[in-house]
Amino acid sequence: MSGPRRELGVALIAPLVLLLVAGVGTYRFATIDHVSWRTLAFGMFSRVDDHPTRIAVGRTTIDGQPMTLRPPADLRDLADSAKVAPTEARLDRLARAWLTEDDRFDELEIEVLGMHFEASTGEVSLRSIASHRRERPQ
Amino acid sequence: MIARRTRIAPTEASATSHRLRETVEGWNVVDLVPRATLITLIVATHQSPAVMIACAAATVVAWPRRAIYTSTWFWLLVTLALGAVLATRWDLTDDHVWLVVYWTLGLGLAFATPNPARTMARTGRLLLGLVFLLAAMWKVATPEFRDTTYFQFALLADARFDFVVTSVGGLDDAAMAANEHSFADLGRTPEDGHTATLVGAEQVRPVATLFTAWGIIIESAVALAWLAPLGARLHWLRHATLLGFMFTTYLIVPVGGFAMILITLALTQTSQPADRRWRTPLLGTAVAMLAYGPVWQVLFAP
Repeated sequence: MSGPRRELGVALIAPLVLLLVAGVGTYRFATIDHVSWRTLAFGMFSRVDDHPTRIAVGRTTIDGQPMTLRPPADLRDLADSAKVAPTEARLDRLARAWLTEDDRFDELEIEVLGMHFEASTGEVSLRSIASHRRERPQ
Repeated sequence: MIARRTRIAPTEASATSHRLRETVEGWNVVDLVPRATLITLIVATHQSPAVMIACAAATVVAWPRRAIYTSTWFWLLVTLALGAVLATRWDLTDDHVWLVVYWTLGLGLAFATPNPARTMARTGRLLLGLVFLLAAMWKVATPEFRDTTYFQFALLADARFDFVVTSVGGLDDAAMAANEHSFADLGRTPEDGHTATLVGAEQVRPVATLFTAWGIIIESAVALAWLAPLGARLHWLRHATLLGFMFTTYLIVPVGGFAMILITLALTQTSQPADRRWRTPLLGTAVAMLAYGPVWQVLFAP
């Protein structure tokens, strides 16, 4: 390859990496509800749905009472990760860590909820994006 | 006596400003851009103190040593180290921090070519143009952005916009407090079908419409100016659109790390004598953006 063409090729490497990663991120957005703000495809400030507007909860039963719990503070990274891309693997990782930390229950359903905003009425509603049930390993 | 002082002072100020301009325009782009990148690394990683300290240490070592900051191996090492750290939380890291990683890769590779200034100019222009192209495409392709829903929501629910809403959006502090309360309740008792109502959606629509239209226009303009093969006489369009974006966007929600990487990429375009006059406005903007962040925190932060 000649000098100028090689130089051009070298100059294109970083932009091509950016495009490739953005392409993968956009695919994840379309297929697994990865939030557009965190796809590495520069989709921030375009959608209401972002990981701070998503809510991760754990549904379980304690002393016969159905309960909806928020993840413990020290599992925040796992919860954020589940909110950004609610794949089964990430929800399961959060559920396992939660079950290890809290012995009040033996079964837990992790659910990620997203916000929908209706601009004409100002109403914000929660909608289920993904859920995953996990039992404590015997 | 007083009259003489007032005559002398502007002349001295103008001479100092002229000297500063000459100095800045005299720098070799191959020295300027790597050093701007070192500063960018520190600013962009401020949310991870350990990483920021490592970047600051690298800056102290590299800044005075041309052999280091013009070394392919140094920048590839920075790319690998930063990339490896970020990879553990890759999608919890802001996109612009990854842009810094792409840029350190491009900078390292540029120093492996016979003409680093030309190579870094090509890489920098493409990276900047692609970022804005992608950002504009997301906005144009998203119905809830186009119909102003996104900005209506952000103005009412994102506390970073509170000062805009209360000063020009027509809502008072009580309304914003009510919205904050409703929003917090929604998160506190998360049940299927649970809803909250934010007040003022109609009042903020004009501001939301302005932000929406301007967002699409300015980001598309930056993308077009930076990706189109403009002749030398039109290069000013690149810097003008970028500075237009920064002053209209980051004054409302400052993002110091993003501002710094964009300015660093823009500086790659200032190797030719005719383009060097943009260095002072670009560097001045960088300083202003860095200073404005703490001011914004004091004046407007939630």
